[in-house]
Amino acid sequence: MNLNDLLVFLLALTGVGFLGITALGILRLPDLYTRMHAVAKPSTLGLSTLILATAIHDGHTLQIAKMLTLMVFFFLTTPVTIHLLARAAASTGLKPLEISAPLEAVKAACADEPQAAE
Amino acid sequence: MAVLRFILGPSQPDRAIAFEVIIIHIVGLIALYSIATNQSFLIDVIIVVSVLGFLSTSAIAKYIGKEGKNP
Repeated sequence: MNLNDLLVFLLALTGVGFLGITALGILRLPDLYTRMHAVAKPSTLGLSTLILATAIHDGHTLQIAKMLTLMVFFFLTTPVTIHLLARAAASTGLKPLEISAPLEAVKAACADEPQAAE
Repeated sequence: MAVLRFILGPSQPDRAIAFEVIIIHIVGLIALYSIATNQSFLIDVIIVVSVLGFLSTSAIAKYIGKEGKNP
């Protein structure tokens, strides 16, 4: 197996794995904002590695230049899109998920600790 | 899985995010297909689809925000 093919295979496998993580996250996470968090970063990395794999596999200079431009485009646009969606969702009055109960438990534990030391 | 979220998503922004994920997966599938079949013209298809996805998701976000201000 050529080294080029091995590199293409590894990059494509990484990209597909990250896109699978994205799909799993959007299905399983409980809240809109956590779902956004699951979409934004793995999809950017996964698509970038897939596009890099395509560029390495193709080999022509023009296609590699196109693919690198497209990678920069993805790195610029995906966070912008998710930010626009989050702002729109916040303007409709959607509240984030409450996680106050574990925080209260941590605060209570921290308050108990000095008294126990004394 | 994203299609399932698209169908059963409780609110409108959920569907917008599912739409974004579907576009991203379509782009990834086109990239894999162009690797598997040695067709380099599909790179232009990837560029067009990604630009269309970005513009349509921005438009959906703007529509959702406007809808929230004037219920």
